[in-house]
Amino acid sequence: MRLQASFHLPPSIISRLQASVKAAGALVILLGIASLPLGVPLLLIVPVVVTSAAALLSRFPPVTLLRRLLMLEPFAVAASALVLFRPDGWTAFWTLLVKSSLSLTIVIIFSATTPFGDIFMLLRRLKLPGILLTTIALLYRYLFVLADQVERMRRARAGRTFAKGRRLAWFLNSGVIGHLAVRSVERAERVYAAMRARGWE
Amino acid sequence: MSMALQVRDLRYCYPDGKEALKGVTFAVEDGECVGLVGPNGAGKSTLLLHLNGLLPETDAPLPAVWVRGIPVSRDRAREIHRRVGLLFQDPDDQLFCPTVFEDVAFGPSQLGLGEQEVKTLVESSLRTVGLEGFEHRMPHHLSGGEKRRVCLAGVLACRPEILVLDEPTSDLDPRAKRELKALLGGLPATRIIATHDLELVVELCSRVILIDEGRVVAEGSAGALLGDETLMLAHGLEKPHILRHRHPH
Repeated sequence: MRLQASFHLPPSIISRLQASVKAAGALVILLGIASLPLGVPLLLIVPVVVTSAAALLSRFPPVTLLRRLLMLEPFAVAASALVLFRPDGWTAFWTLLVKSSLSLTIVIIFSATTPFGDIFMLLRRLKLPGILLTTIALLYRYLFVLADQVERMRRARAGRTFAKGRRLAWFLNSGVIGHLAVRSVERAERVYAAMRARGWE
Repeated sequence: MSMALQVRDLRYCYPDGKEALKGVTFAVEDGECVGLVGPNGAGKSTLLLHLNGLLPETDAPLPAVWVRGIPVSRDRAREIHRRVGLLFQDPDDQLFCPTVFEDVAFGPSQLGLGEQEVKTLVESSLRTVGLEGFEHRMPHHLSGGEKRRVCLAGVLACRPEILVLDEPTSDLDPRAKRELKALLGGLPATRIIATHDLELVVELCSRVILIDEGRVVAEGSAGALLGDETLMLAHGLEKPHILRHRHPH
């Protein structure tokens, strides 16, 4: 597992925009999509055009964008499936699925064209609660440390694994996950100590 | 010369019952650079956590550590954290912010300094460790040596009077080690360095404290103590090469 700090898109009109402008634009589009009524599929043409334009302007490679969208799609499908119980079930389901997918696409484009530091500064300017900001910052920071740790543990196990088999792989992976959980708790304690050592209360 | 730090009969038991410190006593004078050596599990890291007030979790009936005459206790923790800067062994534990700037600014921001003052402090601390222009770098993109120096900048930005360093040169390549050694040697603060890098101790420390099994076993000048091969071997250490090959001429 190799985690990338950020997905490097080529410079584009969108990536050059200020984070606050991009966030405001994304929010307007998302609100527009959310306010469209279910059951009128024709109205979806407008957000489809807007989202496609945003994707084109961001110079996002279509295959990569689609792959990222597919990773999130199960959540959209699960959420949309809830409207299947309505009388106009299938039309509402498809409309909601397209709306959710378009919203996810906008979020993917925003996050890929805005460095994490800029998003973080924006959240801080928006006066989000400090504890929430700290949690987001720590989560982002330690994702990479944990990913590296998983990779090292996986390699170390692979280096001494001579038999093949799905059962063994599951057994080994569960071991890695268990160790990682214990090590993460220990690391969390050390990180907290390091925070306190520099005045955190 | 006034006393920077005093430790008297310091005892500590971990919650699992393991007795880590069994009555440690020593003192460090202002401006001194003291090496703390001992085998793995001797209690060095536990001792360092006490010097900064991170341990014990609850106040002992009688204080055992004094920083410039101030007893280390829960209610004085903020002041102790400011006076004693602690560099952790694993830089990934200490670099918890998304960017270098935010990490170095973390301590000063907690001290309630203004935005401009924090910025100036961050810039000067990064300059001291030779990392100007690294403000917007992300910690996971830095090399081991750079991470260690950012950690040091984060500690220096709090303007501590005493620097406590836990294995500052572990996992560093020779060049990064050399650079960090030069950097630590040039700092004016009182320094306490816990390390297995005995060459570093010989080069930087005027005095050495040897601890083993939670007790101070010996104390003396770096040359005399680390040069005693029998003592070193008895406590899981080795006479450093720099002393082994030192010629009389």
